[in-house]
Amino acid sequence: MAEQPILEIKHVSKSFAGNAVLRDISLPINKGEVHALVGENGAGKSTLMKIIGGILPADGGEIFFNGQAVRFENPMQALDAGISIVHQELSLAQNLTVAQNIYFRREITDSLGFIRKDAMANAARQVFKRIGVDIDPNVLIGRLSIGMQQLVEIAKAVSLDAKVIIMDEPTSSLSESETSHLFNLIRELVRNNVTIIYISHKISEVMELSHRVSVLRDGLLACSSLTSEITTEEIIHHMVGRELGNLYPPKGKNIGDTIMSCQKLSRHGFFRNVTFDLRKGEILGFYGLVGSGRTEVAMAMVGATPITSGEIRLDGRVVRFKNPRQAIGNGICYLTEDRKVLGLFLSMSVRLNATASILGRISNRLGFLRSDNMRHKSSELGDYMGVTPKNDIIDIINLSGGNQQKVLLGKWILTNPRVLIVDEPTRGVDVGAKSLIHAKIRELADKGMSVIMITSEMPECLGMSDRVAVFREGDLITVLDNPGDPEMQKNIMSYAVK
Amino acid sequence: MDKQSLLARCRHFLTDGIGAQHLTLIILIVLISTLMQFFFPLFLDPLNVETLLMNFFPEIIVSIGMTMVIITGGIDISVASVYAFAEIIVAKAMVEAGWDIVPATLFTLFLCCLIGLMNGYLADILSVHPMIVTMGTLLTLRGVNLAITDGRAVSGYSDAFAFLGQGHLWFFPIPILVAIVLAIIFGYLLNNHRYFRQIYFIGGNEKAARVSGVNVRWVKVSVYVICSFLAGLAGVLGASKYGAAHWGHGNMMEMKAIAAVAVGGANLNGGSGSIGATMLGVCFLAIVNNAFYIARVETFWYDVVNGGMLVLAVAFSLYVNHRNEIKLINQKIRASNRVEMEANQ
Repeated sequence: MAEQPILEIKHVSKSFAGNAVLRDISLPINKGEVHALVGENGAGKSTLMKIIGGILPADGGEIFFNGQAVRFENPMQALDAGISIVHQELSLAQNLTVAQNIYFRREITDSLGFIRKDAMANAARQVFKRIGVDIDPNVLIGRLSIGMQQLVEIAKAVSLDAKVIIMDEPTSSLSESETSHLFNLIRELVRNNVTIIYISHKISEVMELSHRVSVLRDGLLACSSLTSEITTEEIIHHMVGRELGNLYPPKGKNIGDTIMSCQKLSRHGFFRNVTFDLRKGEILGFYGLVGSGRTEVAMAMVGATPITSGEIRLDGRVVRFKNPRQAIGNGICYLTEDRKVLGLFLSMSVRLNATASILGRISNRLGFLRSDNMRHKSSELGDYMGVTPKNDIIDIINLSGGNQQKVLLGKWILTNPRVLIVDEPTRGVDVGAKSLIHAKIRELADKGMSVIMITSEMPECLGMSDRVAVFREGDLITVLDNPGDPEMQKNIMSYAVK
Repeated sequence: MDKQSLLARCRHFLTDGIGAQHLTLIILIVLISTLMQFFFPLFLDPLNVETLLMNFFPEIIVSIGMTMVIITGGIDISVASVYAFAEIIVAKAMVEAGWDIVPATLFTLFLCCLIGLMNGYLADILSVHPMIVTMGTLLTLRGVNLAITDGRAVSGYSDAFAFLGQGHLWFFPIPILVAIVLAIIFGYLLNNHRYFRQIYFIGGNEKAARVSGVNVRWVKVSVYVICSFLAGLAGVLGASKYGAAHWGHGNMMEMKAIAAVAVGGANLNGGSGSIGATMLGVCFLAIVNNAFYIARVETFWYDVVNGGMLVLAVAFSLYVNHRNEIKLINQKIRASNRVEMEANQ
């Protein structure tokens, strides 16, 4: 390639709280190409894009833009240089018009500083004409579909005269016709010498659209190749090709009969016709990429969100929980992935947090709490889960993430559930807490509890689950038996992507 | 309890913002009382103490309910007109309809509970901020109070009813006795009953409370019912104490009750607060108020001090929150260092 790359990433690395997310990434991006970036959840794609776009600083390495070393302090500098990001979660103001959003921060004004709405609308119309889109610039953003909003984001980038547009999972919430429209637009932009960096989970899209594809795995660049010279199978191999250590407890020994089953469970707009059985004493992994509907299924199973159709059977009986309280009453608990929002009472003590779901069992017949019972249960939990510090009257906010998670898991164990659904149980916890949580979950399963384990981490999924249910875009694709050998990875991944 | 844990608790109480705030409040109350006693020896005279408390008994009762509402993260500013409404209804039932004390009182309290039910239900169903819902109730009910009385006072009830608000049991005026008993009962319940414990969970993190199996809607609605019930009870006692019911009685009571809760150190975003702390808050307001009367300071200045105290109290809470956040950040840094060390080993 004679021409120098428009964007060159050299030896970039980044870590969060001691965990390396990017390790020495070097990657040239050529002018006027669609460069696809693929990888598992947490492979580092989004982090890399944030570093290029000036949202995060890199720990080390350099970025060259048009041959010059650049270091963007904030997204505005990146924008001014000509690098725009179209985020997965759109960053448009819902209560402003299309034109106001496109010209946000650079409103067209008269000499007194008053905004000239008509001029702004006209300018927006010009941009839309250039990219062949028909949107009324005076309409409120909130009234547009997600697909249309995405087009507005791209129009905004075009109006900023962006040389490089980074798209993060742009099709994750688009319909098929919207997707094909977007692809046409991307091809049009590339003809005009704009460079597109296209982040996606969907390998079929990547194969169709991109000129070059790079695969990230665990923060490393696993491969970078012309799309025409690589197959889907090879991409998947690069995404998951890693060895598994003996980090995980042995598989389940005494797995019994089905105790809970979901039949054609649907929630409109989130998941469709999800059917599976859960057996006594097994750990059923839910694997899928972010947004594949796993958490939504779990929330619906415990009655936290409604079900549109389908049924849940518990011991053969049809049950329908109106709220989590009824689910807990039937021995079904859900450990959230979102500790801060759905799990912890941050301003309260460890003891109160630990006993929040067993108020009934620590109070007498009239409902008065027995403080000795409470103290006893709380310290029982602390000992079992190895929570440090042992002092349980301090506010839980003072505990580390791993210890907070131990308390939350312990809180559900105290309710003695029959079915425990754990959602990303080891996210954001340290190595020691992680293996302890794994060991405890397996121990409980061996004692007869059934566990559903939602995880986005392939090694954890392989290492822990007896069977794996693979989700993709709101569908349960298949349930696979999991012997735990590394070959399973490609098998699972090939169902989860495409 | 072993010694170490007791010690830890004491240290926790002193270093914890809320404990420190209570201590500050107690010291202030003692300080003001001592100074006042020194300059105006009548200050701690039983008669003055009784006046002091009698002036504030409706606020004591109302702020108990307000504490619970605020712990859930809500607010109820309709209490002032519920108070006046209860005065008027109980008076009208006896004077104009000729009912006995007991049915008149029960009927009044029942109506007040219905108002609370409406407040709580509307705030929950429509998911409108309770401030707006209860403001609607405040204004509507004040209009109702005016309309059904033509703006005049209602009076002329029996001596037996007057005893409720004016009589004494041993040495204690009955309204104060009622207020103290209610404070003790609800204070105990809030600390020791599973149902009331749920109020804290809801205020601390409503979504997490729901996932933990708390019936959030029911508990929230019931708290508004209790709050309106207590305002109504204060109104019944007030009608008896003043010997007349008037739509203007209890005006601005909601602000005093909220101020008492805030001065007591509760977080207005919910999750913390206690009846004991609120009682300290009411005591503080009552003493400052009384000090103004005794010292014959222009009472116009009273609101200035009240307002200033409120701002100071809130500023103190914010400072404490801020300090906790810093603590959290430091702890995070320590945790991440630990992870790195483990990784290096």
